[in-house]
Amino acid sequence: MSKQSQLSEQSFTGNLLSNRDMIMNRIGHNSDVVVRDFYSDAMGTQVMIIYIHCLVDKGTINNQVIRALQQGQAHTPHQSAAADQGTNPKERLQQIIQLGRMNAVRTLAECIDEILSGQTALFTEGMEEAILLGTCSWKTRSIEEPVTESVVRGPREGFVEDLETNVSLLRRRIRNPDFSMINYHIGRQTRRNLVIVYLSNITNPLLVKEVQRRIELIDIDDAPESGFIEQLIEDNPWSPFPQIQNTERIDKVIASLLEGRVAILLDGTPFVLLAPVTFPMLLQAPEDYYDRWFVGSLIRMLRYLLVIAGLFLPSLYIALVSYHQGLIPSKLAISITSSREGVPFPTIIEALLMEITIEVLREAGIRLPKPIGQAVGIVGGLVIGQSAVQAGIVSPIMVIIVSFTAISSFAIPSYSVAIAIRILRFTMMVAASVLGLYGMVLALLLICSHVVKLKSFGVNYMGAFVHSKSSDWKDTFLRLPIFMMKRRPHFLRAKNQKRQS
Amino acid sequence: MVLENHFSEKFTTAQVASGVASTIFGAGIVTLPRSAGEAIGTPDVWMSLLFGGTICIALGIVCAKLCQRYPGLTFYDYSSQVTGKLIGSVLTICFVIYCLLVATYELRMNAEVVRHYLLQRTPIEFTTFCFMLISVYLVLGGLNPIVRLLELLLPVTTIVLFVVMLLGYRNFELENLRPLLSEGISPVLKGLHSTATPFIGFETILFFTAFMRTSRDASKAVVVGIAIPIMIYLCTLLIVIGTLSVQAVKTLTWPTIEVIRSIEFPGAFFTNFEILFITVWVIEMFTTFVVFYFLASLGMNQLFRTPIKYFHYGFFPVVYFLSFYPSNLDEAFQLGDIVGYLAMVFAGAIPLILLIISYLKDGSRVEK
Amino acid sequence: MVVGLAIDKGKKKGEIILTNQFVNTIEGTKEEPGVSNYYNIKTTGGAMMETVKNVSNLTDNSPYYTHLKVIVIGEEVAATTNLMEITNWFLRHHELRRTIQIIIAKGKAEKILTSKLEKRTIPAVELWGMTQNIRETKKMPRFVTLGEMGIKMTDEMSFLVQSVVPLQQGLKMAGAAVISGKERKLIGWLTDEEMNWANFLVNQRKGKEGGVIKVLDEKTKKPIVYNNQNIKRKIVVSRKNGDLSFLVKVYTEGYLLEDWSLTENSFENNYIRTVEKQLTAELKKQTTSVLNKMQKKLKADVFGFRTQLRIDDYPTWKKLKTNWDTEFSKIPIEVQAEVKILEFGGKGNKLPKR
Repeated sequence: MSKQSQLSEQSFTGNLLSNRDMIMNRIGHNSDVVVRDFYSDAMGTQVMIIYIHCLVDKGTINNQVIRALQQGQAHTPHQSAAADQGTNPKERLQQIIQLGRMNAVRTLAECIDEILSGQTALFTEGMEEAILLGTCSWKTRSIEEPVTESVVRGPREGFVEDLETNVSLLRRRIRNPDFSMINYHIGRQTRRNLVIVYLSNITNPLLVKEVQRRIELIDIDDAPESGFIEQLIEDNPWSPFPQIQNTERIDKVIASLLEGRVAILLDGTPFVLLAPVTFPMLLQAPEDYYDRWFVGSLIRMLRYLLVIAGLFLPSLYIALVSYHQGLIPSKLAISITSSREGVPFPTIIEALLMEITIEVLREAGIRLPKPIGQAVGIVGGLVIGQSAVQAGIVSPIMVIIVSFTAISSFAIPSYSVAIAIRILRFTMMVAASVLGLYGMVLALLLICSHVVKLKSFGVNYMGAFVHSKSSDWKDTFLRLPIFMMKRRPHFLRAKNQKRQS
Repeated sequence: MVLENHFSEKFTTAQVASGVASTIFGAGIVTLPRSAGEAIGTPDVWMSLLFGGTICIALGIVCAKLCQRYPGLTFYDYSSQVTGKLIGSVLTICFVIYCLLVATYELRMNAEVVRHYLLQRTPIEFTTFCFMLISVYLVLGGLNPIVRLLELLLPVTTIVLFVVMLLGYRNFELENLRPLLSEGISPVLKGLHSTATPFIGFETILFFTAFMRTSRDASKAVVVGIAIPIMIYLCTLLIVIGTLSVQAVKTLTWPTIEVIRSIEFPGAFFTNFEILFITVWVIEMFTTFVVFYFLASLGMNQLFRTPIKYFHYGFFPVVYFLSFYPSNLDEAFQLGDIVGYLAMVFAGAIPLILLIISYLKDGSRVEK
Repeated sequence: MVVGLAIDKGKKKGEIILTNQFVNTIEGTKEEPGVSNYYNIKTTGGAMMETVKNVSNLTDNSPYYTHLKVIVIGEEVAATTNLMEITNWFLRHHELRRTIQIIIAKGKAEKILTSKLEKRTIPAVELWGMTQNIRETKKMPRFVTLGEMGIKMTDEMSFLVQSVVPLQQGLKMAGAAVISGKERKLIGWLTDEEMNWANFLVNQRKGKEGGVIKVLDEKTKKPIVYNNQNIKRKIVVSRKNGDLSFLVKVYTEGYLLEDWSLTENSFENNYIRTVEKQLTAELKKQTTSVLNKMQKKLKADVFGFRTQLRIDDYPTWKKLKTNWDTEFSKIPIEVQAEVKILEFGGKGNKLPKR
C-alpha cells in the first residue's frame, strides 16, 4: 500500500527516458504495451508514445498521431514557422494532432490509469507532462432488444455492456443541460467506471448526496455487475425484497430520471440501477403507459392479483385442505378429498414436492442452451406432472395450483420481485402447514410489518400505500389517463413537482 | 443518515384518523351485538350505538384539545405538567397498566376466537405466542411503522368488513328491528355503557397528536377515526340483529361470526365468508394490540428514561402470562367488562379533568 | 365426511339412534357400477354428542360435519322430544353450519337416508336439492335452516318444517310438519294440498314465485290453471272496543297458462275478469280453510301474525305474549284475496272468432 501511494505521488520529469522507465516499471512486463520512440518533424523534438495495442484504434494512432507528428512539417509549412518562434510545445501539439480528446496529466498514477483504459500517452522531450490522447476503441456488443424485459409495444433498444455507449443512449434522448453525471471508479483492483446520472433540475439534491455517500463508502476489489453495487448500497440486506430497481431498458431509465430518481450505470453490465424504488413501481411495466389507460389499468390490477395469487395460492390450499376443510364448498371438498385419496403425503409435503420440482425445472431451463431448455420445460412440465399424478404421489388439483402459481410469478414484470414472492411463498406454505389460516394471517402480518419498516433511500417502500398524498394513487392500482397525472410521485420529494400543465 | 431529516415523517391527518380507527376495531365487533343486546334488550340497540358513538366523539375531541395545548408532548409528559410530578407519575403507571390490560384482553379474545373457529386442537399458548412474536417485531420499529401499517391495512379491512356485512342482507329481516322504541328510550340510555365500550382506542389520540404534522387537525382526525367504526358497528348491529332477532343474539357466544357463517351464495365459489371475516378480524386485533403494547412501553420509557426496547421485551412475558389469567371464556369476558370500566376512567374522565385543570391553571395561554 | 344425519328414537327411553351418511370418497366421484358412493353408519346413545362420538368405534373415518347438508328428524322423536334439546349440540359445535336444512320425516328418519334412488345419487344430497324447490312448487314450505330453527325456538315462535316420506323408490316432499313454538314439538301435519294454500299466507322474501291455482270453470267444468308469479301478503291489525282482529290481504299476480275449455277467449278482457273472479274465490275459500285448521285444530301461528301484532300494537302483544298460540286461536281473522292475471302466454283461444 505504501509503495502504491509512493508511486501515485511520482510525477513526470522532462526526461523521456526516465519517464519511460517509470511507466515500464509498472506495466512493462506485459507484451501488449507498445512504446514508440521517434523524432517528430512537426515538433522538432524527440517524442514517445505509449499505449496498449489491444485497447486502441490502430488506424487513429497511425494516421492521426504518428503520421501527423512525423510529417507535420511537410503538410503545414506555416506551423513550423510558428514552432520556430518558440510557442509552447503543448499548444503546438494541439494543432498537430488531429484528435478530439486530449488532456495533460502530471502524475504517474493518473497516466497509467488512462493508458489502461485505452488512451495513448504522449511525451515530448523537455515537457513534464504526459499528453493523453483519446484513442480508445474496443469491440462492443451491438444494441439489441433486452431479453429479460421484452415488450409488445415500445422501443426495442437495450443497454449494452459498454458504459460510454449506455451514457450516449441516454444523452441522445434527454437533450437537457441539466442532465448531470458524477463519475466514480469502483474496484480497488479493477477501477471500473461508474456513473451516477440524474436530472439536476428535478431530483432532490439530498437524494443525490445520499447515493454519492453510499457509493463512496464502497471499497471492494471489483464490482463485476451492478448487482454488487445494489447489494452494497441497499438499505436492508436482510430483506427478501429488492430495494433498488434494475433494468436493461432505456425508456425505463429515462422515465425514472424524469420522476426524480437517480440512475447508477456501471461499466461492464447492461443492468442499470434505479434508486429509490417502491413496491408499486416494481409492478409497473413500460407498456402500462404506452397502451391506452384502460388497458394499462386493467393489466396492472391483474398484476396485483397475480402477486396475491403467487403469494397465497399454494398456502391457501394447504391451509384449507389440512385445517379448514369446512371452508371449501361441499362439492369441491368432495372432489378434492377423492382426488387426494391414495396420496401418501400430507399436503405440505405434496406442495413442497411440486414447488421444488417447478423451481428445478425453471433453473434447469435457464442454464441449458435455449433449444434444450424448452425441451426440458416440456418434458418436465408435462411428463413429470402427468406421471406424478398417475403414480398417485400428488393430487391433480395440487398440480393445477402449483403450475398456476408458477405462471403467475412469471408474469410479474420485475424478476427480482418475482423471486422475492417465491421465497415468501415458501414461508407462507410453512406457516399454513403449522397454523392453518391463522398462520397465513400471521405470516401476512409479518410481511406487512416488515414492508412498512422498509425504506429505499429514505422513501417508504410501500409508496403510495403509506404516508402519501392522494395524487400518488393515480398511478398505483390504476394508471389514470396521462393528462391527469400532472405531478411527479410525491414521495420522491422532487424539486420540481409539476410534470405537465 | 442525511435523508432521514428531510423525509422525516410527521403523521398526516389521514394517518392519524386511520390509526385511531384501526385501534378502535378490535374485539368489539364480535362481542358488541351480544353485550349490547343483553344490556338493552330491545331491537333499538343501534340507536344506543349512535348515542354511544357520539359521546365517544365528544370525548375524543376533549382528548384532542387537551393534547393540542401541549404541542409535541404526549399524555405521559403533560399529565405531570398539569398535575405535578407525583400525580403525573401515578397517572402514567395507571395508564400503562390500563394499556397492558387492553392488550391482554385483545390477545385473549383473539386466541379464543381462533380456537373456536380455526384451530381447535392447537393450544392457545402457541397461537398467542406466535401472535406476540410478530407484534414485538413490529413494535420494535417504533411508532412510525406501526402507524404506517395501520394506514396500509385499514382500507382493506374496512372494505372487507363492509362487504361481508352487506352480504348478510340476504338473511336480513326488517321485522326483527321493529317496532322502534317499544320500551321507550330508557333501555337505550341504560345500555349506553355497552355500546360505548367497543370504541375503546380513541384515547390513542392523546399520543398521536404529539407526532402530527398539523396538530390543529387532531380533532378532525379523531372524529373521522371514530366515524368509520361507527359505520361498521352500525352496519354489523343492524345486520346481526336483523338476521337473528334480539332474543337469539343474547343466546349466542359470537353472534357476528354466526351471522357471517350463515351467509351462503348458491353457485358462488365462496360460500364461507367467515374465512374472510376472521382473517380481517385477526388483522384488526393485531393492530389494536400493537398500539396498546407500544403505548405501555412508551409510558415506562418516559417514566424511567430507559431505552424503550427493554420494555418491549420486558412486557412480552407479562402480557403473555396475563392473557392466560382468565381460566375460561367467562372470565375472559369479565376481563373485557373490567377493561370497559377502566376505559371510562382513562378515556373519559381523566382527560376531561386534566383539560379543566389545564384551563384553570393557565387558561390565559393561547392555544397554539 | 358426513352429508346427512337422521335422528330416530331408540327402543329404550330417551335413547337416540343416529344414522350418519358418509360420502364414500374413495369412489365418491367415480361412476363404477356396483360400488356405492355413500355408506351409512348407525349408532345409539343417550345424548347427541355421545352418540356422535360412538361413530368412531365403528369406522376409521371420524365423522366430519362441516359439509353436513341435511338433518332428518324422525316423526317419533319430533313429536315426543323437545327439539331445542335435540338441536343444542348442532348449534354449539363449530363444525356444524347454521345453514343445514332441517327436515321432518313421516315415519322413521333412517328410511329416508337408506332409500334407493333411481339416479344413484347420495340420498342426503338429493334431499338437499329437493328442499330448494320452493320456486317450482308451492306444495312444500320454504326450507328451514338449523339457524332459523334456533332463532324461532328461542322466540317461542311456531313454524313449518318441510316433511318427507319415503316411496317405493325415491323420496317425496310431502307438505309440512307444524312445530309448536311453546312446546318445541311436532304437533301436526299439513298435507301438500293444504301447503299449496298456506304458502299464500306466509310472508316470505324468497320463493314468492311458483305454485299453481287450479279451478274448474263454472260453465264448462274444464280445468283452468293459473301460475303464480308474485305473492304480496299483508296483515292488518285492528282493535275495535278492545277486541283484537286480523285482516289478511293476499294479493297474487301471475300467468294464465292452461285452459281446457273450448270457449275460452283470453283476448277478451271480460273473460280474464271472470277467470280472475273464480280464482279469487277459490283462493279465499282454501286459504280460509287452512287458516281455520291452523287456528282451531293445531292452534299454532305459523303465518307471522305475532310479528305484525308486535310491530303494530306492542302493549297488547306484551300482554298476550306468554300464551300466544292459544290466544291466537281465539282471534277472528278475515281473509281478503285478490288474483291478478298479467298475461296468458302464447295462445289466447282455441277457435278463431268467426
